Amino acid sequence: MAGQHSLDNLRLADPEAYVWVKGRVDMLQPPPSDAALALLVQETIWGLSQEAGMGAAMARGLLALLPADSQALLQNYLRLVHRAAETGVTLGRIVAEFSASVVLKGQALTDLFEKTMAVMLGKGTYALTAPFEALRELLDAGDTASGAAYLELLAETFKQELTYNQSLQLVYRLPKAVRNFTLQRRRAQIEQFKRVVQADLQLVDPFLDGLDKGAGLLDEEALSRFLSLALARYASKPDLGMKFLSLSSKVGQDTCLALQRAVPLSHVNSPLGRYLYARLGRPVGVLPLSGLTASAAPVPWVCSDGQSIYLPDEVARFKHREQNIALFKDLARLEAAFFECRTFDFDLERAAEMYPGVLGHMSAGLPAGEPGGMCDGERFVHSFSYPLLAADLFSLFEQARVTQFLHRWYPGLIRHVLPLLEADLRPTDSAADHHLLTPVIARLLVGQDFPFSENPLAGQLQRELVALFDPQSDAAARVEGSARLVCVAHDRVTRISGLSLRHYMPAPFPYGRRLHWEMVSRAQSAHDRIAMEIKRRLEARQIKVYRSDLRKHLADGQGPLSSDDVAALVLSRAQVSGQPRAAVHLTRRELETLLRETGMGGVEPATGADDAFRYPEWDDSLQDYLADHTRVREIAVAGQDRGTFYRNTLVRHGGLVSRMRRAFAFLKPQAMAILRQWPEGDDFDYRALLDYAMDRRAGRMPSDRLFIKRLKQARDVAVLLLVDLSRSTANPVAGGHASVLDVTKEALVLFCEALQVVGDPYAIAGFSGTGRHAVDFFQIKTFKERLADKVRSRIAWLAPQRSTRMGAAIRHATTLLTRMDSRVRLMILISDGFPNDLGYKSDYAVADTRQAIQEARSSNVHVKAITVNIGSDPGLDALYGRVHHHVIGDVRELPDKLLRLYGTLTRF
Amino acid sequence: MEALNPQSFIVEKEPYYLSSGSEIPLFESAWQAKLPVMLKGPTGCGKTRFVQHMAWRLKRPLITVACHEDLFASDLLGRYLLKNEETVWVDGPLTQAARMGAICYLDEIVEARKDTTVVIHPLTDDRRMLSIDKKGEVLIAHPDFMLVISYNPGYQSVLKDLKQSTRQRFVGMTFDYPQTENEIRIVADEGGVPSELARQLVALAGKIRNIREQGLTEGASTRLLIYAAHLIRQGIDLKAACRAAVCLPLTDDERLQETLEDLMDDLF
Repeated sequence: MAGQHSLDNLRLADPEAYVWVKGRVDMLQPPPSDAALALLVQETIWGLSQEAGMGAAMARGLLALLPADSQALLQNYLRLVHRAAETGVTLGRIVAEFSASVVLKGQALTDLFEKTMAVMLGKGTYALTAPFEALRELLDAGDTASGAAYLELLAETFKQELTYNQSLQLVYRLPKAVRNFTLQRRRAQIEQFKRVVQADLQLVDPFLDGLDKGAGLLDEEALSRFLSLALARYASKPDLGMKFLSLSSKVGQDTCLALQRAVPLSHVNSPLGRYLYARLGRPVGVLPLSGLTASAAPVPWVCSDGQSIYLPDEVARFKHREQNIALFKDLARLEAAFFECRTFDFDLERAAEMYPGVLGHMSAGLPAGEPGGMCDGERFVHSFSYPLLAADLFSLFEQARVTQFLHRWYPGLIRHVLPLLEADLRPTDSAADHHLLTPVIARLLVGQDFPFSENPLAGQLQRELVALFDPQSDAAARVEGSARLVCVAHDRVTRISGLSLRHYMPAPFPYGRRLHWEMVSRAQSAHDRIAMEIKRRLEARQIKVYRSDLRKHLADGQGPLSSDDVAALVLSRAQVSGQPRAAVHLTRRELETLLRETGMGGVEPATGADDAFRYPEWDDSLQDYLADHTRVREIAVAGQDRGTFYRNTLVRHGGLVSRMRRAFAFLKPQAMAILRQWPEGDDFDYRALLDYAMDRRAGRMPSDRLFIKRLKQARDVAVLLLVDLSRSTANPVAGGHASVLDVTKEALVLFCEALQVVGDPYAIAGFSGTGRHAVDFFQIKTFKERLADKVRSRIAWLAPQRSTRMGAAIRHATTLLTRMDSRVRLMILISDGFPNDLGYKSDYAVADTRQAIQEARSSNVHVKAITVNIGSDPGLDALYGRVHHHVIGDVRELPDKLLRLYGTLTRF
Repeated sequence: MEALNPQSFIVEKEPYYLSSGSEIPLFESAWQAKLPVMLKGPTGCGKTRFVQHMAWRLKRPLITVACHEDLFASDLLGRYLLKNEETVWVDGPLTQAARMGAICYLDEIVEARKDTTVVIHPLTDDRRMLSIDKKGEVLIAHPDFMLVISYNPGYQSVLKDLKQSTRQRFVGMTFDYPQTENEIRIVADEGGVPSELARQLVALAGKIRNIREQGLTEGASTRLLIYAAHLIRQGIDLKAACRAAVCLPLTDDERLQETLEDLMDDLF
């Protein structure tokens, strides 16, 4: 009651604050003591008397401390706040706001906080808020070590002589950087950051750039070594040292790579995707484990849901980078076997038909009717009295089956992977601590002679379980066979008394590999519902199929079901159950009606109402195409300047133009090449015939090269120049007023002139756009158009537009090029950076662009890229392929270099 | 020049060929009906071998011309050559075949120049004749003469396409990589390796063919598998043989090579 009384005081002082505080207090568990509450109210009112914001901040701070129920903490906090308030209200508010999190973490941190704050105050109170917000985030996330390191970093930074601008920049730069550090290595990175700050503030930007580009993957020791190397370089040659640190020099990149141990999934994602596509013949996504919803138990290494394989965001288990990459691959390779063995197509009905015993063992019998969002695997496991045990046994026997399959078909893989699994299972503790299933796992999955338990009962049970799995059993055994073993094994384990199953802990499989049926349920639910519906309707017509077969058919994207498909599915069921095959009496009409009723089929492909072009886009995480994902509009450009810009450019580059005309005239072949003294041909070469006669007279061996051969020589090259018109091309060129695009336009003019001389068919197009539905493709010159003033003025019209969805533009350009029947088809892409658009960023965008380029190459279009105005970047190799791109740091060289490049590419 | 001996073009020994459908009776019927045949299919899937086999079956001489982009009409029809201070006419392979009643096989016809392909037109319709301008001769083809062409439609799309006027003179037959079980037998028999090993090679090829669209222009052909088998029989290590005979010839792309390596690691 006394508590309510003090709260009433607050209501009088500030009704608004009262409502807020009351709400918070009511939620506290256990409720605070009256004394604590009185203190809260008293101090909040004091704070409000200083300034409204400060009162609120103090209320928040005190409320955060109340659950700790420690008088000392409260006093400590109040001491800090009151002392700060003596200096000024602003500082008081800041301390009230941020110090509660610090005080909670103990005296040592509080002292450090006070010391750091004193240093930072040297720059002014403006320097406090942004850095302390980051500090509070770190501490609230429980990362005290990083918090302490961060405070030291702040002290180290702000004790230096700084100009106001410098200091202002650091106030925002530091917290932003620290927030972006990877959780596992945050403390170590902050420590190294401190070293950088101590060495020279000039190095802050290069250091953070370097972390972004790859140094962030180094572990503590490696990062420290890398930094030492960089600092040594910086001491002798500051310029080189900075380049080294920011990973913009080759030495820097190589050194960093050599030190690197951890491998992020994004580095191996696309080779894994391609590998899985090759092995399984269908797209299987490779996704990070962090993307899984938190509801499931944490998965240490790998799992899959029947559609995608989930792998760690990063692997740093081994000393060397290569080993870690190999681990990624091996985990994916093992997991892929579940897909090959059709583990996720487990069907209870089929299990019951194949092994009638299975039904009897499921305590509740086969749950009828709607599956209620659970897949058959999950329902099966949950029907046992000890679901955890059943799940383990299912994982065990299914993995044993899959391992057997691998032994048979992938001996190389097994050789690779077994030592890895074995190492993860090696007996470390005394045998007594081992899980009941460990020896069974070791023997069945790894082929290791793991000692059986010394407890005679358990030992006997383990031996029985091992013997249960017969490696010689039918090679075509399905996942349903494993289910049968689960029934038998579950019975035996539960029958043996003395083993407490109530506190059963999940078995330690190597690398935590087990079946996650709840994930499978989630992934399959959509298809499952439709499959269930179709099955029900087919059954009404006396047609029996397995739901898993239907679902697989739907999931594999084999398109709508046809009568033949249904017949095939019925046959597959008849083979399993040994029943005579019932004829499928289902006309196309009936089937169509049936499918339409279930929402399948009857879907008309959307007709292209507009004149836009639709292209798929490659989704790297799905490792599959998104059909008709992008829409490309061809936009006709109408220039106004009647070729003035064009002519001016020619005048300005007079020297280059005449040189280039001469050089390109040589590229132009003569119409007919005559090969004389050829061993075969259409006519005799009479000069050679004379020689022949003379030789014979003279008794020499005459030459048989007596013919003339005429070859029609045509340069058969069609080239399309694709120009990036993104907003960034408006950036000015170093040392001039012209923009990147201005220079590119000049290059286009010269290119047109050169191509007129050579006579190759050529086209020029620009691209830009916003979002996947609006990729603009600007036709400057089509292959058919002649170089007229209309075209010339279009070049002058070009202006920076919006974003760059490169993949779609390349696909459209490829379509245009493949219509040309030239022998060599060439696409030259001029860009000033990486692809970037709405929902089209970094890795995703690069992967799609790369895919579009691969498609172009598959259809015999050569793609070469010129990137202007940026430094060399290893990312470009990944994007375009190592020998297929050119970087021109200074865009002013573009006109000259473009022509040279074209000459080299198309020389005979 | 003395008349060519048709016997020298006869295929003596039965070339190994495993039928995977109705292609043999179809070809025989075309021969009976005097129709020219066009074989389509990816490289190394057995088109040439099939023609050899059919020549042996029908006991006809076989004359093969590998077409290239400098193949002139005269390379097919014939030309004048010098002999004992005189010019003599020498028949080209097509003329020879038409005279002796052989099967003339123009391999990879799309590689030949478009104007060259036109000379075969009169031979391929009901006229079955060949006009040799330079010699002023009109040659009526031997009743047993048959023209077979092959090409690979997947490759070099627009340009390397046959003209409709050429295409529509032929009976078409499609070839693809043999079905798994057949391919295993072929690799085992031709490569002289145990069928277990052949199965592994075929499995590898199957996986590689899965990623044909991902940058590879063509999947691994049966011929490459047989090469690999030959190397293995010579004592080359399994992986090295596959790398040399299957992976490296397919692509220069390092990323794809990496995937191919991974696939090999799994199987061997």
